Amino acid sequence: MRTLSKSNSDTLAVIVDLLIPEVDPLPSPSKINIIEHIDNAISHTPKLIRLFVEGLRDIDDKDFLLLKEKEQIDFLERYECSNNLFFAELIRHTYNGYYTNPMVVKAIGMTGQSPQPKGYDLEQGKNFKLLEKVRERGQIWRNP
Amino acid sequence: MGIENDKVDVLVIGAGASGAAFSWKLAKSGIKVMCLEQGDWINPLTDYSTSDSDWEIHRQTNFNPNPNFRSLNVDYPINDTESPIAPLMYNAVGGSTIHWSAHFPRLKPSDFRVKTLDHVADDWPISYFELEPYFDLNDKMMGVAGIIGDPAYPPKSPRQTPPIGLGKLGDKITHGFDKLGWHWWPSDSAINTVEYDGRPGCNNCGPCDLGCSIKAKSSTDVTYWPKAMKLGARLVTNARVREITVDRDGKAKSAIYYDSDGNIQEQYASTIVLAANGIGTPRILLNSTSTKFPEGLANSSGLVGKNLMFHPYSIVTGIFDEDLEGHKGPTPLNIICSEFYETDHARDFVRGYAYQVVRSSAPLATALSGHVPWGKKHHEAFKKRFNRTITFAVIGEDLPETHNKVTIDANLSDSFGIPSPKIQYQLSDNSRKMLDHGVGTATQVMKAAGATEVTHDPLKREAGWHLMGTTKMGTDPKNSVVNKYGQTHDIDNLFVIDGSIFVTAGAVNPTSTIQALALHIADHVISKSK
Repeated sequence: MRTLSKSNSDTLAVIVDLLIPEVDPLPSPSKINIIEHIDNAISHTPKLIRLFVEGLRDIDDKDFLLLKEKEQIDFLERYECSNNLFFAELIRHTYNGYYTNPMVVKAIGMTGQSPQPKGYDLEQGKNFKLLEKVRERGQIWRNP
Repeated sequence: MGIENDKVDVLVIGAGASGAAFSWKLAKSGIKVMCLEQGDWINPLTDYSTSDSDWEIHRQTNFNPNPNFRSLNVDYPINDTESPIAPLMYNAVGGSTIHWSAHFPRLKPSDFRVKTLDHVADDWPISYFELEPYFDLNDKMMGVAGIIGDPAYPPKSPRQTPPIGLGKLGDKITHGFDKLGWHWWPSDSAINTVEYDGRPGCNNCGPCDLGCSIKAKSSTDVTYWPKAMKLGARLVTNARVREITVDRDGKAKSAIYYDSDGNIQEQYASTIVLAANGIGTPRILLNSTSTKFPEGLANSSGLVGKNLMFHPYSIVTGIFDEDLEGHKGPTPLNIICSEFYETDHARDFVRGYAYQVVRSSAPLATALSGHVPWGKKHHEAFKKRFNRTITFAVIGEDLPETHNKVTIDANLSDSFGIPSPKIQYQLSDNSRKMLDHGVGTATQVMKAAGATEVTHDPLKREAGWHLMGTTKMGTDPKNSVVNKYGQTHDIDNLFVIDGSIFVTAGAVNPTSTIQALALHIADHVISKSK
């Protein structure tokens, strides 16, 4: 199900890449289908659809795509203050898509797999021996 | 009325921590017990998200601990606009043990005697040592990982499995406690670390709060319920109780509920037992009005719904300059610090607090922590925190106050039209001072362990996991709702067995104590039935 128009999507692609810039080995959001992720995520919630469509239209109306990168960042910083509700949702859904993408999860040093079914090997730890000192302090519970 | 059903000996409402333990104990003694559960069964293999790539997003949606955000069909909305702490719960077989982190400390002996010791609130009509055999039985049934010998407790029976591993992160923070000479201990945890009772050991996947697909975490749908049902306990799911009715003599007669198709059913019972948590239980009692009981059932004291206690939490996070592999292992590391648990008259507050150690956040939670801005500094800020944080949840003892309460909201109801609860809660001056003290000492531990930066949240909003006090236990019918056996003073065949009956809250997670109380009350009901 698609909610965003071609124009919405083009604007959103530029915005999400400013929110999370590409830095090797981390890809830019637009290269890993974040636009589709956001589109899917908002498409079942009328309130979110309205928020995104109106917010992106508002930004488009200011000729956002014609601005230079520095001007676009300045614009978004101002826009975040004036339309915090939309911006907070934009960030949440961008981060949601980005940090659950296996390519990103792998690039930040994890295996890229979900927690189950394999789980992780966990070192038991060396400091259980320190409990002896805690024990030696004696009873600290209060006997009524 | 709707469809009428055959009478049972005992009808339990709620299949969570207490309802499961209680039903098992009764079924074992041959009593005909039926349980009505608002939610459904969860299939650990197919219903949990931890095998999916988007597993973290489920914390915002169908596994959000806040029913107002989760909004599943089985949930009821809660008006929490007049509370700085949001109540959290889960509605399913297993109740909130489905999404809990399985912290399993017991209340301590002093928690049952706060009036005698500290001249605040009331003493419980039961002691730690009277409950001890039930703590032990419950530990065996749930399976507890830990180490005996904690000087913050009386001696305990051997734990069922070894403690959860510390990992690099645990080694790091325990050095901090050690440097300061402060108490720390691997807290009891209802998670198998090795195979126990037919369930496997934990594979350290991390997000216990999203449910355990391998059944290493001891939610009651995989511990008590299979055993209870083998013994003959009947469990009816998707049964949403509207009210309890009474007969001409004022005794509890039946529960009226909506089944999964929305049909009204009436279930008769000789004894009715509420196990619907510290908000759900007073909701049912207050919704059960009649000419005989216009203020709701068991409410001659006017205390049903009053004295709501949460455990208020401050969150203290230390950032370290090395990778602590913080995503490995159960998110609750289950180290507990009891250094500041008992009253110290040199402080400006009464009673005390504990800290629980939490491992680092997963990638998405790190990004959404509020400390990772968008733009050119995004990656640097993310890297600084990811796998490099240790968090303390400072858990304070909340004292009972009658203005903190659950009432019925006149304008809010669930999808079947059952009126919803409203929460009114204010953090007390004593609790604020206690948490501020906790933030200070927790910061000291973080720094002693080598944290380069420490941040804190003075009062976590999404932290109302523990719901207590709303049908207080006591000996005086004017000052309490139930007696030491959970039996309501007003109606002798109506019982409450969940966290509602807590007199005070202690400063540890309540589930172990809730279940021990449920087993203790079950023994009383069994003895009365003979």
